[in-house]
Amino acid sequence: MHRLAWMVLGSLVLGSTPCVAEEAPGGWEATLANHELSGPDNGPLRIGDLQGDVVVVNFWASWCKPCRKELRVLNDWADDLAGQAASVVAVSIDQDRKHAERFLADAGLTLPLYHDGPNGLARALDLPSLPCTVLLDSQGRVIRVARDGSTEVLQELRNTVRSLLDEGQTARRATEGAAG
Amino acid sequence: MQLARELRRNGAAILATGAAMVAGSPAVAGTTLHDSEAEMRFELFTDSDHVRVSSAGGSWGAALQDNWNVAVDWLRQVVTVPGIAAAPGSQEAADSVSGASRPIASDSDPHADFYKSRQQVSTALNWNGASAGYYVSSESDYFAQQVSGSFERGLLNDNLLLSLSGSYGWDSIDPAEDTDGQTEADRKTTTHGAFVATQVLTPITMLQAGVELSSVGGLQHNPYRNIYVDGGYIAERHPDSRLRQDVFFRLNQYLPNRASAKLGYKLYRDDWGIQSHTVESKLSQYVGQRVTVRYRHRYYVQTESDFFSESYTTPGGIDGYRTGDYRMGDFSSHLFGTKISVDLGRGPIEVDWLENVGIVAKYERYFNSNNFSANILETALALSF
Amino acid sequence: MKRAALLLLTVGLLAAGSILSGCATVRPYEKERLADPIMSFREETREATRELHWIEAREGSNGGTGVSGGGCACN
Repeated sequence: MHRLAWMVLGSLVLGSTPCVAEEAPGGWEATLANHELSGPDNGPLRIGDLQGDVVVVNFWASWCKPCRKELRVLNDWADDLAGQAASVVAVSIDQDRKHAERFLADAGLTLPLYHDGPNGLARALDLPSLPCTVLLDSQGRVIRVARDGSTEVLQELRNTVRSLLDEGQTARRATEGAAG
Repeated sequence: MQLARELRRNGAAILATGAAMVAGSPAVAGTTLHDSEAEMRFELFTDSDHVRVSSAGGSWGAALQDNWNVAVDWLRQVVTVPGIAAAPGSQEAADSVSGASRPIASDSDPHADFYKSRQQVSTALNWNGASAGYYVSSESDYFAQQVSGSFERGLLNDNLLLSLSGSYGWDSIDPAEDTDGQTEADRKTTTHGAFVATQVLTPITMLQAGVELSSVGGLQHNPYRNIYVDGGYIAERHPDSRLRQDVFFRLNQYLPNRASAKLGYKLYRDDWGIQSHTVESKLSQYVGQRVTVRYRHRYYVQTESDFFSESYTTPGGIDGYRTGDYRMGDFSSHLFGTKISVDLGRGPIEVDWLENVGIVAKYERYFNSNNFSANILETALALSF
Repeated sequence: MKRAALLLLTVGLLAAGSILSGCATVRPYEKERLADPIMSFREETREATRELHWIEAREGSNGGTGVSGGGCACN
């Protein structure tokens, strides 16, 4: 019996080498820019339409516990970033849009709901994790992919957003100065 | 002796195995939206020997800062054991197989009901898959404590979850006055280890397999129970060490039309010679937006221990051990149950203050091949926030 | 009888070991069904732990409840 238990344990440990390759976000930019998301009033949104803004795209689901926690933080970001050249796009991959709506209402979050289901962008990008947060610069380039919603990762992401906004402002001032 | 005394037909003190727990969600449809929950439970247990156990308990689990979770579980039980039907000391009151297990004090009426209560609290703290817990259970003649720890790690892109856990329990047994039983204080210790692997097989199928090992030392029979041997009475006696091991498998399958089927099997054996098989199936189904219904069947069969006998001819029993505990013999049992969970916050008419409230009702019927049967009725109120 | 049970156990464990250690292909966004409360191992474990007290007082074996862990790593 003991020997059998060890056999199983050994089989698990030895056999647990990851066999799923770490995905590189190659080709994500075009896919993200062109995919049509169903918006709050069922109006469509293409992330490409937000070019010029720093965009934080967060993939979440109401059934995903770390997503729920992260979304509360991103809701605060969206409030803080209002009026700046930045957008937070929360994309729900719930099968049923009502589940996502219920969570947002229940948690008192004001982020607009972009619903896409599990077979839209999530599958097209083959998302490596959930939650997954993608940071795009004002040119629509992928700057960062955050695969978890830990405090440290979110803080780092927030700092990057700030830097990108500062760079954008500096660039704008330089352009205006040159024009003036 | 804890719930052991609920039954005059049953035996030794129960292992106090408060397994480590973490904040989970009550099985009420729709409560997954929240990370913190509280639940109040009421349970009534009645059996064919007219033993009655009323329980009130609850649990609270909350997500704290930085991936910390805390969980607290508490329980209070009142056990009523009916008075013995025959004269104390007569063979009718303590035959060789069953044996009365309630104490009979010199100043009490053995024909009157016997009451006792038990209080239990368990707590667990969880951080990033590591968990530590403490359990305590107290009653007038039994005090049990346990510390536990577990660690969980995800592999294969989180499709394989490995859990390792261990616990150590130490119980103090201080029998009440019993005119014909053992009254000296004793101890029992339990060391338990488990390894469990859960594999996601498909988007709708999960498989779990586990091995468990526990070593028990100290008093493991019921000090109140005597057995009838060749015209006289003698206290039962079990070995003071026991090595118990089991392996189990569980398969959870999501079915079309918002249902799931769960199948489980467990093989158990110990060094007292008992081997058992347990097969369990559960079918859950959502009905509309609010209601979840679950059906359950459990079948159990075991072999007898090396020292079990329907009757003993000498006080030495078998290898010096003798038992009046039917759990040491061979028998089988069935359990049929149904459970209904209602999420009050869902459905066509939504009421704000019921948004995060669920109710649960459960009824189970248990019976075994020793002509014993029991009814278990549980109701619960679950809140999520 | 014991030999047959042990043989069965060996085959079962080896089969389970090879399945468990195989290559997993379920992606994170495909786990909604697995996260459903009616698929939860965790709640079952808690319920089994609660009923241990009366089951153990009536049957000669124990165990099978495992540990709190086990799930789809999705909630």
